[in-house]
Amino acid sequence: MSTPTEPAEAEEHLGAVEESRQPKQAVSAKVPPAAKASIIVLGVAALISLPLILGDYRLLLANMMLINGIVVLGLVPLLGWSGQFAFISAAFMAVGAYTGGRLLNLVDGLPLEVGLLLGCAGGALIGLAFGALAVRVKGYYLAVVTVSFMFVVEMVAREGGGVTGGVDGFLISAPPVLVLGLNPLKGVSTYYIGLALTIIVLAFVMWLRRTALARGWAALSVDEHLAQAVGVNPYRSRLIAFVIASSIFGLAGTWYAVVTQYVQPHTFGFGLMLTHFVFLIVGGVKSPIGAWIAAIVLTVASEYIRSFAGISEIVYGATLLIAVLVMRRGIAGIIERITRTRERWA
Amino acid sequence: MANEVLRCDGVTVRFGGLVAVDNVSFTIEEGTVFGLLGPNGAGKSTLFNSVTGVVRASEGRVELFGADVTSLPAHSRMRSGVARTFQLGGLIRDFTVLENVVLGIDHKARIEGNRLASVKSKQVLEEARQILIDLQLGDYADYEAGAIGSGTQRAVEVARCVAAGAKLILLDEPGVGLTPPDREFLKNLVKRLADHGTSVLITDHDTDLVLGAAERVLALDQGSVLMVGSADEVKSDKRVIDAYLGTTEEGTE
Repeated sequence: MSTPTEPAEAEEHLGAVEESRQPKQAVSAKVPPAAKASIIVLGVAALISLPLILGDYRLLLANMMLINGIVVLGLVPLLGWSGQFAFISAAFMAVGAYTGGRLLNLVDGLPLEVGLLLGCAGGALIGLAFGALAVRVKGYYLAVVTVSFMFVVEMVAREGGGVTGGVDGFLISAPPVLVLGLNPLKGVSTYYIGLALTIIVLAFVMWLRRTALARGWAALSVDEHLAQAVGVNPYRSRLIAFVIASSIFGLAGTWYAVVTQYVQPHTFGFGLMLTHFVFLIVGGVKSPIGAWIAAIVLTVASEYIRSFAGISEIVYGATLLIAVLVMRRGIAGIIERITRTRERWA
Repeated sequence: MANEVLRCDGVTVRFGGLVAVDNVSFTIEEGTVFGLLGPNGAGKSTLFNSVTGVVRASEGRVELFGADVTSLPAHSRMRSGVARTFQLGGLIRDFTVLENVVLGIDHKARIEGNRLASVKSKQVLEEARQILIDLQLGDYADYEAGAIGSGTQRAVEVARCVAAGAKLILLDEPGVGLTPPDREFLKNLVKRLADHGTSVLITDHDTDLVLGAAERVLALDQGSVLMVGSADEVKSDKRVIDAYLGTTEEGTE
């Protein structure tokens, strides 16, 4: 939303409608369709051509960037829209890696698509089971419960013996791909599969925002009574957000396992979860596009910042601090100010 | 006899040792405006909340459209065809006025049990815009709800309730913080709702607003019913005047 003008005089007379004394500034100006279309075309063209100009190492970075993008797309509905401080991104990536990824490792010839779906379903099912308990609590309590869950997942992965691969984790060799018969680990095709997953998840999340479900979350994050006043069952609504997010994380985790070919219990720890939150906050918690851009930019940036040996953490921390202080609504806020648009909820 | 949309039967609400509402009974008939009057601390809000489900009655029974809802949570009650406004914060400020009204259309879909209704977003937006136009709020449709005046915000909340297709609308102190002309607009809005067959429960400590809008009025004092009657009866009742009508209409919040 572009910044609203100063509130119209608080005691404005209702008759003002007829007198056309309206708030001075329209809130949503439309971007000309041509401009919008050309931005989208340019962006998509850049994303498609990217791997053709990158070397092997940078291609891996590009793959990580897309995975991080998918993860924040799951965080936006959960944190930004339904307002739940659930720190489950890394834990449910692990769930995806240890369900879909593990099955790809154990079952020879299992197609990638099936593995990804299984990881997604694994995330959804465990998300439903854990969420049914977790979303009964809110705020700090939810944060504590979900962080604890993360350690439980790691412990199960480590102590799971033959089932999970134990401390050593497991390796995944290239699973077959049904569509086009690609090799998911061969150069640019890895990237394009990641891009396809990104587009699917992005389209889903963008569609989601314009449903009654997302508007119910918005009401819920303002006030639970307001949500109930329009017939929203708060518990159920929170649980749905939880399950949607955990299935997206499950998908991302499975794909992560395939891309890196190696899963260990400590891969999906506290640090990974924190970087996801950094992306989300810098991007703008309520904006899928803003958060996604932040994930892309910061994944790449952190790689270059790493070359400031010894002071990389300071540079990274300072960047964040500036981002949070200067851009209060993140990248999304800046985009909205420039284009004078706002995100639509209907 | 007309159908009853709301019946409270011996509703008592206790908070620990404090009896906020004491054995209150009343009914609202279809298509009428019912006022709930009382000075601050009389138990208006608590009684109102025991109807909406925000507060559970310690004793007694609440019926909506003939069904016992005493033990139902707030959202289930609202799904039976009731909508409400709030004293404060009844809109999503980041949403446009139009999107807030769409929230009401979502509510209607939940009342009707038709979860997929709001998938057709173009149709939903048109419907919401038409409701705003009908209520003379069309010009505000595309403004952010937090940026418009408080009187208009209150009217948009009513529009949201109308969009829900509610048969009973509960107005929680709608006059708070409004200028006299805004109250006048609100009063007329309420009367228009009743003309369309919608029942309204309005609570306020502004006696002019309540007595001007409502046909029947329940006057509360210290948690119990002082009297129930037509607006005129209540206006001229000695006990009511003694209890609070004699004071200025501004109230003392």
